[in-house]
Amino acid sequence: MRNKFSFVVTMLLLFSLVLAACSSNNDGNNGAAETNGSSASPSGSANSDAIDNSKEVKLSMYLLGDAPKGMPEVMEQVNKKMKESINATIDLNYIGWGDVQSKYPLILASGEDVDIIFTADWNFYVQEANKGAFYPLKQDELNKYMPKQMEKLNPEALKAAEINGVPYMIPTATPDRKASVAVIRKDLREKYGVPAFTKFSEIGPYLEAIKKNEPNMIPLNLDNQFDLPTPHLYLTNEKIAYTQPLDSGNPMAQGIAYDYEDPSGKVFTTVEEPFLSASKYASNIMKEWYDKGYVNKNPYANKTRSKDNFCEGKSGVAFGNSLDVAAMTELCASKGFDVEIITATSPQGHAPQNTWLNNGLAVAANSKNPERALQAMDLIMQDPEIVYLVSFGIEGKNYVINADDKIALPEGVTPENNTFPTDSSGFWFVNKDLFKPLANWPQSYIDHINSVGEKLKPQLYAGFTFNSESVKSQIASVANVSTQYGSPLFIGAVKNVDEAYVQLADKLKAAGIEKIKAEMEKQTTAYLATLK
Amino acid sequence: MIREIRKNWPLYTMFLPIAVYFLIFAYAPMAGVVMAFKDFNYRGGIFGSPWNGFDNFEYFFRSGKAWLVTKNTIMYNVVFLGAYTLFSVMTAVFLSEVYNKFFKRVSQTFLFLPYFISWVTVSAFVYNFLNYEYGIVNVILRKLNLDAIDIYSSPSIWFLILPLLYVWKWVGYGSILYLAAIVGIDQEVYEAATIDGASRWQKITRITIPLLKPTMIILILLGLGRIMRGEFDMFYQLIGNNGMLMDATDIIDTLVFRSLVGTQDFGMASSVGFYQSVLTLIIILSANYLVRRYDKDQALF
Repeated sequence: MRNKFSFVVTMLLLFSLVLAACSSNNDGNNGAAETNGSSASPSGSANSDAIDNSKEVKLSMYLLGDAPKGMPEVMEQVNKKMKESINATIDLNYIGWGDVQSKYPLILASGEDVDIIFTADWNFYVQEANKGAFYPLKQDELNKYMPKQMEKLNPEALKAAEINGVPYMIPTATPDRKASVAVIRKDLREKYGVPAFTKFSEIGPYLEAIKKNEPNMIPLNLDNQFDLPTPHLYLTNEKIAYTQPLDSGNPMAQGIAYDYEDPSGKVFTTVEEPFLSASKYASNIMKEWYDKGYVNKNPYANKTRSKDNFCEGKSGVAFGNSLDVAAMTELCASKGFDVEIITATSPQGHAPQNTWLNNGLAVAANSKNPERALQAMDLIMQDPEIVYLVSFGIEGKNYVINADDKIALPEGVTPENNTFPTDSSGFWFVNKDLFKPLANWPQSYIDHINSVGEKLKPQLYAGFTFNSESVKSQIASVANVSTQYGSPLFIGAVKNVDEAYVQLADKLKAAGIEKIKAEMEKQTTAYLATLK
Repeated sequence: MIREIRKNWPLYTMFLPIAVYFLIFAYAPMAGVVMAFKDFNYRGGIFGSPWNGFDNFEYFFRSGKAWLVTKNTIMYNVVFLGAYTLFSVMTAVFLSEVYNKFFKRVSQTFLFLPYFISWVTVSAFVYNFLNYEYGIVNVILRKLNLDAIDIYSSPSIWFLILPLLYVWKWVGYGSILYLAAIVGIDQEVYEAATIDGASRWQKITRITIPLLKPTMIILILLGLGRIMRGEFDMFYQLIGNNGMLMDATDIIDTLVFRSLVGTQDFGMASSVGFYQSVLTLIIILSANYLVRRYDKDQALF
């Protein structure tokens, strides 16, 4: 008797252990199957002309990043306005930066209560749309429920969002005017007599001066995510106009590139000419810097972005883009030193304009109130009162409009103790043409932001979205090879650059990069034909 | 059957919650295994999505690293399991021989403490210990006029560091299990041995260790159930995407994570889960077979 009993127990235990591996993979998906069947279909009200908002609803919204401290107060005001206009309130949630890759798809897959969610071409838009995570948008519905946004939005933007002919996201009406930049310490450059420079490749003497004279500062203190490929990318960009792989959009990965100065739009892999020699040139410089100790030895284990410890004097250079370094330049100015901003440019001196899908919102496929969600999105993106609330906080508490008609901090509020710092709330998709200029930007930043517009050049493939469905195995393999054999080349941590490139090319070939290229050529040719 | 249940009803009642737990969390999700063979989308869900044969397995076996990571996973886990068992038993035996209660409690607490520290935290302080520029180890080496070691680009050192950290983290937990088993040993056996003139060492090797053997076998067999899974947290937090260490430290879970984090494909992730489960099943069945041949009473089934 006892034996039989223990047999049952051990069998159960054993099976649970065996299955634990696969059950953990399935956790999030059981829910999806159940809720999908019952998800509410769009109600018939789209046919009638009048908008029916008689039933009060609560919309759940997800953004990326972290809520600023003052968010609850701001949302209270936003919801007051929402309730009046469309009889709905918004329940705002954030997915922290560290969890985006794991939580973002799970929130969509789990059939959790979600109506509006942030999306962008750099944040799984294509992959999730292909999996059916978003509500398909129809032109007549958009015209009816989002009149203000439709008026301001370039039709090309909505076209770019189409996947197999259907758009799944509403892109921002005002794509960011921003370029990739490197920020250096002006005070230190002048102190050590390094001449001024405008190109990133001329930064060598500055790094040398920092290494020699500032023992507590690492000239290039790179983190494992954003900064790791960045200096290499800037150097490459000076030889061939390039931003990131066209197939995966992941700056860490190898893949398919094109020259954005080349009107023919020819695509090539990152390990064939003309790209290869540019990339090798960059790796050789990085190796020289790495060997001289200008680069931190273990960026893979470092999780602090250079932009976040630059003002504390831990890094000689900070990497970012025109917009996300604004707050940092303010902070540095408040600590008493000025900075210089170097824009990463192509050989012709251009920087790529942002794609249409760089920021936007989508309605989740299983939203029970898609019409109301669209109306709420219209208000969030275009209503001046709400746009100011979610971007700058509460007037009088977080910002004031000063005598010069600029946005300034109220008396007694500093960049450090402001409960709602500018541009910190993750509402990047609002109509930014509504903004007034900011008062406390340092001169160096104002000069940069005023001049960056001239450098921006529209990209040939700004409206192109690669559908990776048919080559997803190859993209997965390439991502894996890139991390192991590509990323040491980004920081120059290899014994022999030429040999490392030969090895990388071999591994990428085995991973099937040629097949991705063939698919890319097919899709880009079709896309270019539509432009003519 | 009914008579059996009526006779042993207290046992079955105690068993019921566990049975329900496993039915819900282990048996029901088993059906999800079909996802490994499907082109998953949200509309169709797990059962409605179209089949795509072995396509999901393609990326893993084409990566050229399937064998390497499988080997690494098994090798690290065998070392982990062996070192963990050895040190846990040693610690438990030593602790049981300590008669000063205060010392015993304090050392137990300190041994157990690492169990509560997450790998994220561990990776942060390991970085501060070992990094090249200002890590404590390298600062000391430089003070002694020795060459600093670039640990984060020397794969061979990690064959030692990883098991060391693993043992450091788990030994407190393991030693408690064995200590409980030691406390359960009949004191009369020791008293008899003392009267016969056995030394302390003899008592350990002749009484404690042999009587711990059944516990060891059960725990090792259960440990084998996790053998294909590795300590993902540990590898991912400590090594991350460090290409230079990868051939030495890549395990199945990290390879899959790295490949799919940009693709977000559930089907492809399940395919490797399926592969791991099949291998685990084979390993457990063969281990149990060996145990049964050697000593029938010790086997799990």
